[in-house]
Amino acid sequence: MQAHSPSPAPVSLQRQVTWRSAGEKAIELALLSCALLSILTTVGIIAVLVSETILGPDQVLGNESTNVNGGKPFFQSVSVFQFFTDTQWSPSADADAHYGILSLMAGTFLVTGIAALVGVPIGLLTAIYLSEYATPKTRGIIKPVLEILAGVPTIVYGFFALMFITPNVIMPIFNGVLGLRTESLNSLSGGIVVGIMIIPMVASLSEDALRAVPRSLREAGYALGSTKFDVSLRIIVPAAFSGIVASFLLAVSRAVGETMAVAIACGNQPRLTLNPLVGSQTMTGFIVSMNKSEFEYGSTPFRSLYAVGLCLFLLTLLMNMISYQVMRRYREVYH
Amino acid sequence: MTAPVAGPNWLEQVRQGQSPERPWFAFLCAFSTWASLVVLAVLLLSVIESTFGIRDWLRYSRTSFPQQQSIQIVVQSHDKAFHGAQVPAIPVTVEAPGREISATLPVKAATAANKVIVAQSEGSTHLVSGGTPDRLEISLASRPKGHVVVTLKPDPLLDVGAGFGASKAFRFTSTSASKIQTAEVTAIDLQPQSWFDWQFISSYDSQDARQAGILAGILGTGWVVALTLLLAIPIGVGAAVYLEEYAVESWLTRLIRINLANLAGVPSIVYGILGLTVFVHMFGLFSSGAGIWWLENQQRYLIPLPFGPTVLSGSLTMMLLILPVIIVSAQEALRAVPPSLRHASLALGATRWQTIRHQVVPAALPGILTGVILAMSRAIGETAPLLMVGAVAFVLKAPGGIDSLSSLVTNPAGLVEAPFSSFVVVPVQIFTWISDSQREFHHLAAAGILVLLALLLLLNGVATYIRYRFEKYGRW
Repeated sequence: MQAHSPSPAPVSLQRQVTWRSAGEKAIELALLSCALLSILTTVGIIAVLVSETILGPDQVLGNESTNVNGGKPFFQSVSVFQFFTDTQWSPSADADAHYGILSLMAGTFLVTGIAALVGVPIGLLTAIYLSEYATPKTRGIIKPVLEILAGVPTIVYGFFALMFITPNVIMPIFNGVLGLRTESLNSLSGGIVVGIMIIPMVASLSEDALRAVPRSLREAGYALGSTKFDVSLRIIVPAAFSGIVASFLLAVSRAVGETMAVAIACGNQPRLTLNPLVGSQTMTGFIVSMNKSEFEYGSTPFRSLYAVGLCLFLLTLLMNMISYQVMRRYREVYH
Repeated sequence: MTAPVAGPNWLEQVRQGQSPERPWFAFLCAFSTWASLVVLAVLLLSVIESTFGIRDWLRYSRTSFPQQQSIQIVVQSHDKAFHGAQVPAIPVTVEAPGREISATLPVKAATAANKVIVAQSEGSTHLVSGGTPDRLEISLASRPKGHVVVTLKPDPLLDVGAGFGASKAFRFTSTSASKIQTAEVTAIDLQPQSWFDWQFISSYDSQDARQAGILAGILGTGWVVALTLLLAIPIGVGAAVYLEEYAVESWLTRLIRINLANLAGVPSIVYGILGLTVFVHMFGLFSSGAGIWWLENQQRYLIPLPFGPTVLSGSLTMMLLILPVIIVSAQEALRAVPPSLRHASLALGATRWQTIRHQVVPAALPGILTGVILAMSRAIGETAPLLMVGAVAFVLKAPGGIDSLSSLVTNPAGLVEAPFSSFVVVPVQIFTWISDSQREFHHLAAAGILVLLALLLLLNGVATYIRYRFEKYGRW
């Protein structure tokens, strides 16, 4: 065996560019490009949505002639004012096409509202139970259940809404007992399953917020003679309020972007209504329904999906950013 | 002694011992929590019930099949001449195993949109079903949920255009409809049947619910997920390594971090729009005939440009979708590796890359793997983006023609062709079946969901096991 004696090489203080160091640099650059792909994705999403609605890629690239409709972007064919004020959404009507996103938004807000009514209270109560009341053993059972609920594909929730909730829960109550006209495709069933879907999200994010409240606050509360109710609802929840709000916002943003369950359960009839017992179409539901349509790529009805997508993207982005900011501010309080 | 500071109202009550414990609140919390367990159980039960026809089974194990039945046969036709046709009475013989039921049905011809009720017994109110060319469905009023499959034997006098089974359209002409005199109804399947069997796993989709299977979906999911992971793992882990091991805090890394958080919140359907535009249509840049690598013997390009609704488009879209998941979990795994390991390796003279390659990444591998499996289960369950990218509902061919291990040997070129063939995945197949108007397909959807859930459960089990091993035998 050779002895490991330090070789008497001349010491240079300058950094040598060797094959090895060049290779190291190349690897670093390759890894950086991997990281930059995530930014490229965002840029890609924005570029696609904006170019098809506002800029017009065919006009930019100069291939108007090869495309239907002269490659006109959506908002050159339909005015922004009309888009936001028209109360009808009927892109498939050839002569009398209406593009009023209000009726799609009504569907989205209806479903999201019902989902929030179902998911937010149950999620928050679950979080309080897990953080303040539950024994470790109970937590050990509930946590995996919540994880499974969160991992169930949304298509399964769609099936659940259409095949179980509507015939076995909604129909007997609203059609049978109350005698209201109920369609087999209705916003209520969609809202309920989306609500179930966001329970795990609200629960785990809110629980993180509740657990981040320092122990001293709890102990001070108990030392004053408070009951568990006082401590959880009057000390811990207010202290973790911003974190809880952030979790609500994230969950609601998830509900807005939810697609398959809603597309199955709520039907595909755009309606400007707040009646949860009849069918409706949400923004996501419309986008996904376009895959079955016969519209040519680049035609105005086809491009309307980009306009809806842009609204959806901006809406969820806004909510995510707000909740991100709320969460950051909240973190600064205790850490 | 100073006077106590005035607190909120409730605090005063606490001080005076007037704030009792409220058991209802504890109950409410516990109730909400356990409710999610109940919901999960009900969800699984409803899927299982629908798959195995348990409700029918429960019903018929207790009740005997009544002698008198209300029967309604509906013939659905897309032929406009069929509308308003006057149909005479049809004696229908219904044969049930071990039981004899026969009825002559008075006619109540009625026209709906394109449905004509051919025969209807009195008092029957249930189920009006569409008919397929060689099969009509009738349902019995006392058995509303059960399906009775009835084979109508074509009568010589029954002039049905292209004939039973031969043509897709069940065509009557207004003159021929009046010729219908008898229709013999045989073979009622009274047994509640399981929709989940080997036939379901091993066959392709079909117009006939009893022949249909999910093989195309399973193969498509396999191809899409495999290609997605092939693309996403190196890129995702690479990005995480850069962010954790190389990046110094700068505006760029901050931007990447914020961007990752935002990407995780982008609805999956938006990724679908991205994939549809960039991969499927490529902004409409290429005319439809373009491509790379002309195959002389098949007269087509191996790589068509734009990609079109192919496995590759689906995988690329899915890769963008799961990248944030993989990056974030890999970052966490890398962060958990103690710095001492890196320092030791660097002190021994290893370069940065050698340290990462041989020390850090292997140490973080269980965590990375858990994240990859979670991302994989997300990719398997995701429907909307692939529906946008154009996973076709009715696929009768495996991607690249590879439907068994032996065809790998006989048709190795299929491996290259597979990414460029049309496909369907399990969730998209389920969606199509749910949307089908025939109720039998809803049972198939339930069976498909069972396959999907079993797959996900398996993956989650593996992930949990890895995490458990990691926590138990982790070296730090």
